[in-house]
Amino acid sequence: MRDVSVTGRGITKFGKNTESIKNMLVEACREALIEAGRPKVDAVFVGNFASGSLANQEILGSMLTNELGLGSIPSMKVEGACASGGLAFRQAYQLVKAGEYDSVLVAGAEKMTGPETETITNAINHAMDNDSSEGASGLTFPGFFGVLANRYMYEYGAERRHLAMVSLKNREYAMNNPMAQFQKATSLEEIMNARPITEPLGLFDCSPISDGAAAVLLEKGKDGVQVLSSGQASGTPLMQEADDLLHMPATYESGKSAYEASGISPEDIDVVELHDCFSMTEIIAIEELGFFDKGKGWVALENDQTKHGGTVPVNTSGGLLSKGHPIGATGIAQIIQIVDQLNGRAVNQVENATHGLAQNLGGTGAYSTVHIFRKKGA
Amino acid sequence: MTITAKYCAECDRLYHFDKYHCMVCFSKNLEEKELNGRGEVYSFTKIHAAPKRFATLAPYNIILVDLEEGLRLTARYEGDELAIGKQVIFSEKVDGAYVFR
Ligand SMILES: [Zn+2]
Repeated sequence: MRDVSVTGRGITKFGKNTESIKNMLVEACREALIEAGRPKVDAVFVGNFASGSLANQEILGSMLTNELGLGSIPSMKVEGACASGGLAFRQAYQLVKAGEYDSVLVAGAEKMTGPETETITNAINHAMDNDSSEGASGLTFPGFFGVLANRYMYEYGAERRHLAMVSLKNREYAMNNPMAQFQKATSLEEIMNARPITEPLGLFDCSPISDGAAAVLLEKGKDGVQVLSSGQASGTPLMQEADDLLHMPATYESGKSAYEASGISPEDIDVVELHDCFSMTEIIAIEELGFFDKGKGWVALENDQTKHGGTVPVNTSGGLLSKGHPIGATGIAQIIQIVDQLNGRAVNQVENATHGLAQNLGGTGAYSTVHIFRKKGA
Repeated sequence: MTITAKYCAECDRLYHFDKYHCMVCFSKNLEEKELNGRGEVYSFTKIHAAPKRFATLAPYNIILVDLEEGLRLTARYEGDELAIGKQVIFSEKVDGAYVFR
């Protein structure tokens, strides 16, 4: 098996973007390819969730390959709800590692603004198993995490304010990130008094509707931030079939595979980007990925353990909550923040970071990918 | 009111009514089994931001209820104050959704 490194990265500003999904993809890919020195590209993979229903556009792989003048190389779109980007990256990594390709361009994008909110909510709900009485009940995607949050607080003694601390931390990181959707200062009071979405979660506990694209170039060798390992797992898309609602097996199993394959343990990780689609999701993820004990994630928030100077800084980009969450772009954008951290040029730079981890979740725990990275030459 | 569930006699496993086959032995010969409709709230949420189809109901309560016979079910709840551990009873099925009181 061969070494694989990220040799170029590109990203658009997240938020409302008047450009088409095609133009956003081209912009992110141009930047990544120029940074990498425009090497020969062997394949193009695009992570995207709902361009058909939200942007009236499919065949993203072929369209992008054409716009970039890459000729007749293989291309495709990969769908895994919010984990589309992470899944696309994993496919590229495995094929370069195996020797099938020497370089793969991996992009992710979503164009979400434009349609009315109900159309968007409807599209997001496609990331659940709707062929069930659960779908018919009116359970929404945020609703799942509201149910989880109430049980988590009941079971472990966490309070509403601990959820708000996740949103506040990520907003404070986003304030330094020019690519972030939200950069306005906020407070625990404002977060806790915001409009309810699905109790106990309010507006600031939920990731926003965003447009954006991100891209990385993966090449064989060690001339860049090295990808040490990749883990992927699935979980039930039905809340009523979860063995333990407070445990997210896909996150846990994908982390376990990635740790085992790299020989790296949670203690070795200097910086993390993980899937905070909701404030509650971040608390579950820091537990499942082994950074804190089960049921103690909220204590880590209380004690500032997920900020600079703590056990491990989490979501230094601002996370999905404040950087924004253009669904298909998210998994790639998370990886870009880790790559920037390990190249020593990130916003909210963590000093002397040598190892980083990116976790991308799809649906309500339906898919998860974890990738572990090492600084060039470290 | 009772709730109809599916049951695999071979595996002694209870399933939600919309299951196609037994996930363990792959048998399609699932029996129908009547559950008494009583359960305890495992957790809940009140949904304010609803998709179009449920917009007229909002805000509405979603519960995850542990039925006495052991099946866990996602349902809607109509009534006053909800809390974890509250005893609830199935009242009717509306457009495929289980509604408890
Ligand atoms: Zn069976």
